[in-house]
Amino acid sequence: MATKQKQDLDLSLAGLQYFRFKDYKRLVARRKWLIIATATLVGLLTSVVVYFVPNSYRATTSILIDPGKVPESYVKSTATLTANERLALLRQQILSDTKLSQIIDDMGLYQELKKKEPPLEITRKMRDDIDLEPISYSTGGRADLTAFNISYHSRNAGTAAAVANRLASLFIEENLRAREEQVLGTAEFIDRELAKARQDLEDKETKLGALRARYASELPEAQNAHLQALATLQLEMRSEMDAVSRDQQQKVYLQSLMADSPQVVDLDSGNAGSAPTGLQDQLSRLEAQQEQLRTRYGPQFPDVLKIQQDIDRLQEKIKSAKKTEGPAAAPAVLRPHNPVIDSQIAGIDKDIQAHAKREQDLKSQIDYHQSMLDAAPAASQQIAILSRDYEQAEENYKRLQDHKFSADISTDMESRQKGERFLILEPAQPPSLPYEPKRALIDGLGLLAGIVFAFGLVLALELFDRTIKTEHEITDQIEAPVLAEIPWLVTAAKKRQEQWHNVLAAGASTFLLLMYVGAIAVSLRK
Amino acid sequence: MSFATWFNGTAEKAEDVEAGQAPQLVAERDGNPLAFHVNPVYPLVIDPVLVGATEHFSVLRTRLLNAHHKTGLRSLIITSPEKEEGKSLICTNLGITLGQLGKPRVLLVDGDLRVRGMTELLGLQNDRGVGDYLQDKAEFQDCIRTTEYPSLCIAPVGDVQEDSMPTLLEGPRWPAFLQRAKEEFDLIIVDSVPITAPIADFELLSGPCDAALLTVQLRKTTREALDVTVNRLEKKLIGVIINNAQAGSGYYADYYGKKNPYYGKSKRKNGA
Repeated sequence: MATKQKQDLDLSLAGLQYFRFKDYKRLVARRKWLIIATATLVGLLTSVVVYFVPNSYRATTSILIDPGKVPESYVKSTATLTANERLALLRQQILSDTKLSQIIDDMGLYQELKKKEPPLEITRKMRDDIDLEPISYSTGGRADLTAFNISYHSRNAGTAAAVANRLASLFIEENLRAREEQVLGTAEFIDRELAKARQDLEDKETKLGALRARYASELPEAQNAHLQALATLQLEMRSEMDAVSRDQQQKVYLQSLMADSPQVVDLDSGNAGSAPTGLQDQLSRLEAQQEQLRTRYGPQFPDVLKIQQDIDRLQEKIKSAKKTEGPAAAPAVLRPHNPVIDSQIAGIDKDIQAHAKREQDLKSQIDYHQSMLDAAPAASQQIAILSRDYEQAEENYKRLQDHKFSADISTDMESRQKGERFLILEPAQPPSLPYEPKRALIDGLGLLAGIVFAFGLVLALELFDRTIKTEHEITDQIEAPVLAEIPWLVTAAKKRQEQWHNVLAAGASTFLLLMYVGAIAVSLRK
Repeated sequence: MSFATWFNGTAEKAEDVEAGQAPQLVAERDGNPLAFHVNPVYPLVIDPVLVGATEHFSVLRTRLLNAHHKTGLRSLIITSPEKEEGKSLICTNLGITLGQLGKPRVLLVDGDLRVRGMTELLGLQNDRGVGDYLQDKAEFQDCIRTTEYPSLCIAPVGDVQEDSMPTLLEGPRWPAFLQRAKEEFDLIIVDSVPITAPIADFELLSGPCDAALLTVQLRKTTREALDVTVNRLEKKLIGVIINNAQAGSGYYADYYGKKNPYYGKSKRKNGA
């Protein structure tokens, strides 16, 4: 069973499992000419094929991204896109079909392709030929884009350089335009906003003015005036009332004074003394007393009523007395009478009347001020809302003005080209050496592939060779010892023949090698 | 008896061999011994160009003689898995090497009646040989050719008809030939046919022989043929001669160091 399996293994490995390093060395020595010839041939073929691959040149322009001559901390630019974002945007713009086909037409590119491919295919091809390579270095963990390379591939070195330069200038122009547009756009926008804010502010101002005018007296500022006026008026009112009471007292005093004074016959009436004077006096006194009480307490006062009864009784008595005395005795006026005091009382009455009128005036004034004070809160609320709006509008306006200021500076900066901009660091030169194909590399790889292929070939030949190749293979299968190992015996004649073969193989290999070296030399020149 | 043990033995124990003594019968019969010449096609060990190769045959000779002395080995058949693996050349060279020593009396027999390699190599096509004996057309001594070395004689194929071949080796004549040869020679070496050849010759030839030696040519013998050979030769095989081995490969140093088949294998066998 084991031997059977082993045989199967033998078949698959063709005896290579018995190979030791030495055997491989022998194998290589045996096949050296084959290896050299095959490797060289493959290398030669590669270099010949590569020779006929047309040259492609690559021209590169370096563009520096100048961060700006005015530091950002002084003037905040309104062109806010980072260089990276801007580059991505520009790339889209410049590598658009329209722009590219314009360049293609201007510079007469892809003449051959134009005959057989649609325009979109040609612009796609051109995009493939353009390399955009950002160069950034990182500062403090942040990668800053500092420059970028624009490369163009072409069959012609001059064309490559021209197109690369054209593209570079396009990038610069577009960048400038885009920045200016952005900055101007910003300024314009801010201007528009500012105008709007101003209009708003003015509207609010007008409205507030009107409101203030309407509620001028109710304005919070007028409240103090009202309060002051109220205080003054109340003081005045008090003094008026005091004056009235003082007048009343004076009047009462004067009346009492008159009541106490001796009765004076009124001579002018002509009938003085004709009536019972005692009763008459009493009556006058009562009347004066009643008058006094009535003025002080009103007509319904009990004392007044009682005095009235007394008066009525007394008058009854006088009437009866008169009847008894006869009509001859004309009743004289028995009331106290003093002309000076009378006039004084009349003066006081007038005074009191004036004071009462004044009091009435003051009262109405106090009422007015009071009502003003009561109405003040409603007005102030309206005004507060409006002024808040106004303040906001004002603030907004101020802020916009600030923005406008920086936008103006930024615009100025852009127009003077002091902001971030693209500078051509190194214009593209027509390259002297082709970029592709990399002949040296491909030739080297071809030779390497040839060597690999040659060894593979040798190994494959071994695998197809069904014969026994090593001593180990025999000793592994046969138990009997090896009695002798006879080397390949050759006669002198055969040896000469073999040597001749060897020389031929060496000659052929050398020829191939020389051809290969020649081919490489020619290929690398191109 | 392991084959391995007798190769390294010494000749002292062996029975005495008369040195330089030519077979009497043959010497009397023929006064024109075969001289070996440098051959432009076949590399013989007498060629001064092949001075290095002689050493290898000397080694083979020594080992073979050891076996001969120790085991009483008298007849040896040399074969190979496939044709043209250098049997005849090795046979001839081995014969010359033994003849140069002059010790045991050696008879080389060309047993490959169809290809007759050794016969042609030595230019003995017109001589009578073993074929004549098998057909009962000649006496034993007429079939033997002496050489320039007194202890070495050669039996070429002789006159053999193509149609008689299949039956030639059948019957008692071949064993009789060997028996007869043993009377006059110490060691009989038979060059035979390839084992994988679709003929019965090898079985018939090897039947009366004591042992067999296998010649394998590297990059010539296929693995399939070797497999077949190994199965057929199990008992008689006493050793392998590797032909076309890389000169100076240091195979034996390597072989002793890593495998040591003599001690390793025999120990195991003794133990079993």
